Amino acid sequence: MPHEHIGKGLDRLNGQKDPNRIISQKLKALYSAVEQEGIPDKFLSLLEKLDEAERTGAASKTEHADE
Amino acid sequence: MSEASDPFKRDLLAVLPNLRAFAVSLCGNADRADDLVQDAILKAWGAQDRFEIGTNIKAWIFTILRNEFYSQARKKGREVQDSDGVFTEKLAVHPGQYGSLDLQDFSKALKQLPEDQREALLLVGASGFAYEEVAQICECRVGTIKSRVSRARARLQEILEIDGEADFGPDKASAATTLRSFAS
Repeated sequence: MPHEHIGKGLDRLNGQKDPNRIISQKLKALYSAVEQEGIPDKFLSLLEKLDEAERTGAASKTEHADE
Repeated sequence: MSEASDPFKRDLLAVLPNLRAFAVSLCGNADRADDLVQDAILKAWGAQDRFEIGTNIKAWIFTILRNEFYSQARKKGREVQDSDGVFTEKLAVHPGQYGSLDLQDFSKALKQLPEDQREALLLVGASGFAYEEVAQICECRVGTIKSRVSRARARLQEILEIDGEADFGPDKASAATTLRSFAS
């Protein structure tokens, strides 16, 4: 879709009045606010544990997955 | 954190920030979103044997999270759709999570959309999926997704009273930075 095309600088200014572009920019700003928090530690350690369990060849992997 | 030696784990980590942003925007509640993300990670990990490295892991894990979202909503007997906006005020995100007032308004407006329209708009407009991929994720036709996205946009314009007079407010700068990273 043409509205999805992201311009820079002047392009962006020219597109300021395009409602769909405004919505796209707000959507991305909303995402960005969450993404900038980074990956929470609990997910990193969860993946770490899963990885470790797999490496030790434990069947605990499937146990975790059933939770 | 140690470096991700496992390609599956590496790929999973790469999509996590966007997946989490999708979850927060989809369910409008940061805590519930993180529960969803955790469930999706566990499910994806448990099913990784069925995943072919090199294929679209992003679409795959988004599908898992989306299915989880709807199945949890069904299980809890929760009325997923909130078109009346009854719960909208209660489903507050973490205070201060969204820097500007402008974004908070937008987030509220988003919550007023029917679920199917919201997810289609998020997946196409912010997660960077092609219509075809979104159709696969949502298990429906491409035309259906296109129509949902366009209805979502029209509704948002109504709610936000966007009439072509753009007000970028404080997010102008951050939006511009973000846009570049999403441009493809």
